[in-house]
Amino acid sequence: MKISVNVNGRNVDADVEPRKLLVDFIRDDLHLTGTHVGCDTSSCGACTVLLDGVAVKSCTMFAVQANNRNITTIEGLSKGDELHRLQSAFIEEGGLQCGYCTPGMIMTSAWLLSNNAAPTEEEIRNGISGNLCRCTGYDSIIRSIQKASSDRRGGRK
Amino acid sequence: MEATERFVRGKGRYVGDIELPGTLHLAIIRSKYARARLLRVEGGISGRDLSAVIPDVGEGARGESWKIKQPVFATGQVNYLGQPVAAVYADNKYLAEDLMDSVDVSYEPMQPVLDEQEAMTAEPIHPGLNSNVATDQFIGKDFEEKDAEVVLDDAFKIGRIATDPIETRGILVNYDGSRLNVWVSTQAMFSIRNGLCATLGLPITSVRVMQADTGGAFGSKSAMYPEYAIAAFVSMKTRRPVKWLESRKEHLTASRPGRGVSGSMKLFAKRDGTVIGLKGEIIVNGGAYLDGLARFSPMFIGMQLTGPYAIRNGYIRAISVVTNTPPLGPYRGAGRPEAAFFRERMMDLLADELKLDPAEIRIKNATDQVFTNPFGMRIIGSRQFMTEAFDSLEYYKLAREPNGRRGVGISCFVLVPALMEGESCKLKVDNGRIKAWLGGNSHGQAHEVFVRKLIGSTLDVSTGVVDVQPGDTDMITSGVGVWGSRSAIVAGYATVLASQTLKEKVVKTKGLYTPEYLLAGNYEAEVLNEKFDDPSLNSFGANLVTVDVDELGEVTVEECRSYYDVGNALNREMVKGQIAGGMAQGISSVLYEGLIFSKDGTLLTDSIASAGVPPARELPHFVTGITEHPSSLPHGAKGVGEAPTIGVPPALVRAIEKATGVRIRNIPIHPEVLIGPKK
Amino acid sequence: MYPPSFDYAAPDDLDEAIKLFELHNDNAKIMTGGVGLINAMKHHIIRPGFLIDISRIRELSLIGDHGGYLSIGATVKVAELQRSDLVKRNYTAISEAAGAIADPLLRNMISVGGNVCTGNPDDDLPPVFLSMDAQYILAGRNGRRVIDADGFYLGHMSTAIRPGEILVEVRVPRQAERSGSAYIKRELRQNDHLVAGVAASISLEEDGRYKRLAFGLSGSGNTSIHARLPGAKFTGSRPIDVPVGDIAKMVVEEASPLSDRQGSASYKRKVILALAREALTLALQRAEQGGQK
Repeated sequence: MKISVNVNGRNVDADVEPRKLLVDFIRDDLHLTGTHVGCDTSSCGACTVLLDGVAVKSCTMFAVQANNRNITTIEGLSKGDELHRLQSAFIEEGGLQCGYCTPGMIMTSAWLLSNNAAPTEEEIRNGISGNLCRCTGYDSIIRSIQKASSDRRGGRK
Repeated sequence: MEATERFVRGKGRYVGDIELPGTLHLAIIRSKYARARLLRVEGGISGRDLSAVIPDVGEGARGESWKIKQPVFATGQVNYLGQPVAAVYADNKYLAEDLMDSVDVSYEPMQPVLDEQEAMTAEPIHPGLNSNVATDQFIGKDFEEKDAEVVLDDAFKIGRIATDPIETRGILVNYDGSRLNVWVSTQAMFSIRNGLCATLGLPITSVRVMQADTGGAFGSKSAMYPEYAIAAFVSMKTRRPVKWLESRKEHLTASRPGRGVSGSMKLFAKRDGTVIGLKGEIIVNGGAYLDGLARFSPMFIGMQLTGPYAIRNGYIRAISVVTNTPPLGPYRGAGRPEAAFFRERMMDLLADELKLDPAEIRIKNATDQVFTNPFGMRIIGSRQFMTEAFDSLEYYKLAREPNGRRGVGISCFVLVPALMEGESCKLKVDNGRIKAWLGGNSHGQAHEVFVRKLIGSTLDVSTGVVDVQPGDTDMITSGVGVWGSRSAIVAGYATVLASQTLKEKVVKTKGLYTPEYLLAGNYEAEVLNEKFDDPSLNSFGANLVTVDVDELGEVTVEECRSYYDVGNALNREMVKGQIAGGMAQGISSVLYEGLIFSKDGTLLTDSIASAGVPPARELPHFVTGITEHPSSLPHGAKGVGEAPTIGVPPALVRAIEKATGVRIRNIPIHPEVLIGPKK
Repeated sequence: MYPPSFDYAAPDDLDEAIKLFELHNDNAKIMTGGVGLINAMKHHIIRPGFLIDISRIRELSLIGDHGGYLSIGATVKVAELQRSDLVKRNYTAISEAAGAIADPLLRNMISVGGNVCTGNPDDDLPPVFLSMDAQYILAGRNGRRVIDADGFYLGHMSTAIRPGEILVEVRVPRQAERSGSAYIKRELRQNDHLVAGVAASISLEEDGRYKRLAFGLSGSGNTSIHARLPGAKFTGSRPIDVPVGDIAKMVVEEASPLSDRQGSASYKRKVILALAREALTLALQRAEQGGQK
């Protein structure tokens, strides 16, 4: 089936089998391998991308459902060499260890901050509860999001 | 680019991200039953095509498997749910999965034996054996009980847990006509190399293993597994690259889980609280096929049962059994949490019996000097540490606060790191830069940070000139792996020694050492650690946990604090990150996590959510306290990675016990247990 | 973990969807959000040959106040339902149930239709709709029909929806003045099967007596349950004369929870009792504070 999607600002026309999951379209067809797969049950959120600006789990959508829509993956978050403030904050606050959940966690955080510029700790804990991290215990992730939030309000990009 | 920057940019190179043209994708047909006669397998690749067994490599390996060896493909009988029966491959993973329907397998189900206690008396699961007991030994020495004024006994059980890294296992193999080139998600690339060679009968030189970025492991990624042999076999057969990525459901059924241990303890004490001896029995669920780890585990648990206390008498029966569950693997702590749970539960019981404060009874049994326990484990003086720890954790203050449905618990433990020799570091100076290779590499512990720091400080060079290379068995002679809280100690030590060797080489050619001489030349050094022993490396830790338990038995962890002696912290932030992450696992091993089977062997916890990996909203903020008493090694390091999974569970169950009045003997805990009649 | 092949269509017109469904009815499935469906397909629990994605039909994606009732389109995402001020203000339990579903990301994907029309006892919205006397609008070849939520849930994964019918809308009667509602649930683990959930929906007479009280239960039997007994028994009573605990006990009588990994039946009854007490107390507070504005 022919689909047309905008991925990270670029228009892509593709012919996909209806059964192809969005995450496999992104990883295998578009070679954007920053979006990961961690479970088969839409539990872990490693596959999180933004669909028309809203965070979704790309392992539980077919690529055809994204037809005529905009997708942002982790690769589309930074502007060239310049890291997005969330990416910088995750590095500075140690918000990752093995790094596998990180792209999904950052995409969810981007969506969270787009709805709530200054979330409380509790709002962050709830907001990222669709993303599992096995390494950090989440404290450093929460600090990272808080840092990005205050950087943004402080005018840092 | 730094690893962390690659990861936040989505530029990690995990095994699933590596693409080779013409790659075939493998799908495994697995046993639907925990135990069944395998009547027929038609189609795909199966035991008829590849008849081989899995060798004993990886964490806890003792060189040789037990007499019943794990086959790559089951033949005749399947012995655990998820055991590989056949495999198919295709040009993409969707087609490979479609092909699974083409394999026809018929079974005659049999009653499985799932539990270690049941296994002691059940009929043997393997044909030709007399019993399910694989090892049965006594450690320590029997002792007279007549001096005891108080004798307490109790029995405990710790359920199986999946390691559940967010990245599951995976491998990519490319046979180039003469060698197998392997990319794998692992904690131990040399174990995978040696394992592949032993399984397939290949010379060591014919396999090259490269560690891909590894998305967590927690124990499950050091062993050899059937799927790796199958991928290599298919690549050799087809002369094409072959990729296998584990699904989560496969992870929960066919990766090696940890824990699964029963313990019965008998504690002998004086009325003043002095513990004079400990007897007991440990039964480890080794799974369907036992390797070195499973056979060693009951003795390893037994050996640590005195922990930081000067308990002079000990006599433990250490048993491992086979069951119809996946082979036991290590899970963060691997025997240490079991020992701490059994012992700390008994110390709390003694405190209750004598109406003494749990902190007081622990300090009373501490030692002021080096102490060798009845099983040969050595510790340095623990009393001062404990005294500091309870102050630092604010135990006395929190224990005095009015509690209601709240409870406070503490624990003390010894972290015995895995110090086996053979960890390695190779350094090469060229073009003004220093390249470093390790035998065991990071899967989230940021080895590159401490390696750079140690090279920088030993050689007086900027850390910016050091390039830590990805793991590659072609680039370094040998190595062990990353587990057992060992890396900062042994890989750190190897790095220091290799740096010192470079220094000596500069002195030999130039007469004296300067960083400029070093960087202007071409030098190389490779070091393999020899065995060393130092009781101070058995480091102390203590935890405090406070909880609130509601009327339905739901536990909310309010405070979770550590006080760990981490030696010289090579990077404080990384150390604290390890502690916070480990404390999360310690909490979830008590409240959420477990692999639960129905009686017929069906896995009831078949998703990462039902297996209990908790999201942020179910965990507290962690207070990561450390103290730094350097070890006797030149860089002063001690272990840390496993400390939280050892110390948190006993402190947490004690807090729950104080809040509810219900004595806790088994973990994980279902809330229902906490609103039952008080015991 | 990959679904077998199927054909797919995403019509933007309801009549077109109905036609397609009729044509392929023997092996077609309607997809609204797709989360439950795709998970079942990935695990090969179902293998539809044709998927009709109705998420692009605009008329099904709206939340609206129609005077006498609140209209919720079948493809409305539960995140939108959770956030809607109209819903939050006047139909609090609906907002709470929507916010209790899965996790924040899945709430961006799961649709009202998907949560309402499977007959899964763990679903969060049905107990609230039952407690509020909602109606479901089903569209098919022969036009539309209206069915009470009350008669919709027949058994485990079984509903009154007929072959060829598509759930297009949920209508919730306008909540009277001095009404209040709440939904509370217990899970052992997020995204796992729940232990139980209770929806309470009440309204009070001007003099403070119970005018209406109704409860819906999740995780309390083989499908969603409407607990009617308390309404029959206590309508007309004054809250001050009837302890909340007595009403909650009556709610438990209508539950028939099964013993499983989430807990024994007797434990679940204790949970339902506590949740019913809590939900009713909250609903009462809300009603006494004025309810419908």
